[in-house]
Amino acid sequence: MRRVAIIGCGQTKHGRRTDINQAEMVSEAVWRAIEDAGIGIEDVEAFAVGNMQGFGGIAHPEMIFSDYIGAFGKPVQRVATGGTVGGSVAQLAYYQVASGMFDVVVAVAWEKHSDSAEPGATTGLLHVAFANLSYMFKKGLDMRSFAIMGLAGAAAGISAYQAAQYMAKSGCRIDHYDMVAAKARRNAAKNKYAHLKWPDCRPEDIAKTEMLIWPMRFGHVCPASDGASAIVLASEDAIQRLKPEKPVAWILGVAAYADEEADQGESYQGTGVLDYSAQIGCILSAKKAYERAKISDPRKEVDMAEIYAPFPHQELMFSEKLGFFDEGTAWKAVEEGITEIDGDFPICPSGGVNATNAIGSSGLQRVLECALQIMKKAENHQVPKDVEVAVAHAWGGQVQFNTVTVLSDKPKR
Amino acid sequence: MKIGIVGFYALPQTYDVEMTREKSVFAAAKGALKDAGLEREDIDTVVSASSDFYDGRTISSSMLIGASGAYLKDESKAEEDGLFAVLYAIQRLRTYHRTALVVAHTHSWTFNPHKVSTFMLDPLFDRQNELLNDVTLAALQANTYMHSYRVSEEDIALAALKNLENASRNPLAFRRITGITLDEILDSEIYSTPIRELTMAPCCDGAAAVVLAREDVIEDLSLDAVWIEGVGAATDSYIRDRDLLEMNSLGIAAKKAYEMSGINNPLDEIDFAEVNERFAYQELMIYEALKLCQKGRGKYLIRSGITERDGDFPVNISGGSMGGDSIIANGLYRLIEAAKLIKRGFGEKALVHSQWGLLAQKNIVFVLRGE
Amino acid sequence: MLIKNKDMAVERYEGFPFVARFRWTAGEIYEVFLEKMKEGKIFGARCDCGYVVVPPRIICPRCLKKLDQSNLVELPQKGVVLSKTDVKFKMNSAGNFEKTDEILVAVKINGANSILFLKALEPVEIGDEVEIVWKEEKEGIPGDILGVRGVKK
Repeated sequence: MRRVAIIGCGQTKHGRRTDINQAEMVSEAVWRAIEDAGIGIEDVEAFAVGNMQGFGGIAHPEMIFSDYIGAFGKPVQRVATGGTVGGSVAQLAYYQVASGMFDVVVAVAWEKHSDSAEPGATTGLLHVAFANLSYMFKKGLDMRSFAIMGLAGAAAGISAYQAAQYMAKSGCRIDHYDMVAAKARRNAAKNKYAHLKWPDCRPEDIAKTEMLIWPMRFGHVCPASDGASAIVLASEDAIQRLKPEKPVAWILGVAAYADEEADQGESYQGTGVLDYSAQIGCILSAKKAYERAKISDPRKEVDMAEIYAPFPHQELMFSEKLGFFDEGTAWKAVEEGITEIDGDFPICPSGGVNATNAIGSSGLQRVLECALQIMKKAENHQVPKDVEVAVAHAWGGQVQFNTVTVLSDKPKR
Repeated sequence: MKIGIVGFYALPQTYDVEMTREKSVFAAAKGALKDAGLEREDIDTVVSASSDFYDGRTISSSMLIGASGAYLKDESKAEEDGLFAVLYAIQRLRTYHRTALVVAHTHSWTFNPHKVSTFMLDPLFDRQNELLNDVTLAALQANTYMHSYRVSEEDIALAALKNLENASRNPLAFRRITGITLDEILDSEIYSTPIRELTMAPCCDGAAAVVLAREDVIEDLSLDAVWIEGVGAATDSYIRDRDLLEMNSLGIAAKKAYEMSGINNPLDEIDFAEVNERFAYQELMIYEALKLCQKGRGKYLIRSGITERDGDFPVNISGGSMGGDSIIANGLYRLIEAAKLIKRGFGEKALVHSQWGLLAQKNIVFVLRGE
Repeated sequence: MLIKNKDMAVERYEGFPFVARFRWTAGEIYEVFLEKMKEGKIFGARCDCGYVVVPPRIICPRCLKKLDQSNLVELPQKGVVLSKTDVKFKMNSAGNFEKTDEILVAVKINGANSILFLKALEPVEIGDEVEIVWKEEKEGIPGDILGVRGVKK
């Protein structure tokens, strides 16, 4: 099996981008990544793309964009796995190269929420709520009750339960969620591509915001950002050929285990998950990714992590599932400042998904940010410690999909 | 490392609003496992294929984890024709995984697929033309093709006739018209000249699954396999900046698949083909892109009878898409029909093709070989 | 019950508590294209390699060089019919088929490489020269072009 590394990264500025259209946004990220990698478009052999099309309103949009990113004449493979789509795209690109089929590929993932006329991520979320739950009308649910249920937030709703469950099991307080959210916005202020920047954000500032649905405050919720991120992956031989001196970020192992969906479906499949904070899929993904990367003690061997946490409790919850802290203790690490940018184990030095959430891009950004940290190219949000091993994580779907990617500064351990 | 197809199952194509996606996907996945003689525990990875827009749900795979057998497994998906999911599965098999299950579906009753095709248009300009959709675009391509190469309506109808006759004998096909005649085809309702009811594929429901494995597993477990010798895929430019007279990306994809499988002369070295012809005229253009004949001469292959089921190079013995187009599952039906024929000893090498997007902007080609 | 909302051209079902619309960003160079449309002009972008793309965009579809407003060129309003079709059906927003009888053409605008798909306001044949027909009151939207008609010899 071939060794694969990320040789270039490109992002657009994330935020509300009504200055460029979707095609231009995607091409901006792709060309930046190609330039950063120091290669030409003729070196790129295939593409891995993904976004959640229901939010941008174009079906299979990469076909309109193919001319913008130089994809004509080349294979383009598309994935769509909800929130983790960016992570899935990065892993697809990894497999494209590791399998020996292609030497150099570009992975790009994006989202343009502002193309939807409804506020936030409503349009796409309505797809999930309405389409997946419309069968309830057959069972007698009326429109008004449905609207109340569906609009409580298809994604926020489940996450609120999850946040409450984590709190009950771990004994943390809502202040800890405030701390994580404040850290996200502080870190984002150092990241020139991030959306919600707040340089001196303190937990008290978050605590002042309106309570939406306990224990989720308005200050806890991620924004609906526009943005695209892209990475260039290459095999060991291609790297020799293309850029022997520049630093690269090697991908040591990937895994993506899926759990059951959080709601019962229209054919009564599944039992419905009772504890949304159990996240067995994440535990298994982490275990397998570490096995493939030859990591036996994540707490000792991993230097930092980019965790997909659109809501602050998820940073705590997943950091435990990924093996960085014992069950139910991650909130203590936050109190002690261990997960700050200059802490022992920085988590989301980029500001994470809590500060910037362009769905497609977010999962890929986690991989991209880990790569930047390893290559020492994260500029103002570069962590001071040496990063030899970093872990990128993303979740998606009805809190059931997971992608875990282990990166390193060396091709093997 | 060779990869083989060790099991497959396809549901009869239908149009049934009472059938849920979950039930179809479950039946397909279970059927393929049974055919392979394997259990869910033997599968290392699952790659599903479904489209959010055609299914009318964001994250269309999220309610299918249980049904597709992917529960607590390393899984992902392809959001386009199922053959791209097979491509992804092959990439996964060439790294960590030893066995893979691929399952694809679309239920066309959910939302008129022709309406969904309009959502693939550039929203800033083309989508605002209410006359533009996959059918009228196909009509435009058909007309310029016919005009440039002196291809007649009858040439195209002959391709449809061949496929409809073949479909009438295929229990999995959706549109089975026994005793179909050329006149019936040429009299069928016009959607947009020259595209008629019987020269375009009928959208329907379908779900299909295949089980793939690496050659070491196939040897260890003594499984029967249909080998994947070569694969190629490519994308074309968007419709406004393309040459409408050529299926450019199919030519590139076929070339790659031929190179990988060591094929120099497809007409001689391959025994038959299963192609996805969403519109009957496309079959003629497909012949040309596959280098079975020169540009513009696809009509001669049809007229000569070479591509009939008893000809030298049968194409679409299953009836192809004229027998039914289950959108995302279409490619898998073509693959399964070809694998079936190889196992029956009908031929040793087969070509399988599918397309995706307006005017077949994306194409993917496989070359299969029997044991 | 259907209530047609003229402003948003969205069919709103009474009793439906929500509607989900889209409103795509045009981008700078496309905005210029639309402004010129309001003046009854068609602009494309000419790349150094010779390719002229219409509507204009920031990347050349052939050689992938970056383009910007300095590449904008006004195009003649005439073109050649590459293909045509007599369309007998349309679809409403729910995807239901409706009968119609209109003509759709693929036109190669003179001086440009891209194909434009437009309505033909009268019967035309492949190879005919056609010209763009504008709406009286233009708003700077693609709908300002009513279609094409044959050029009188």
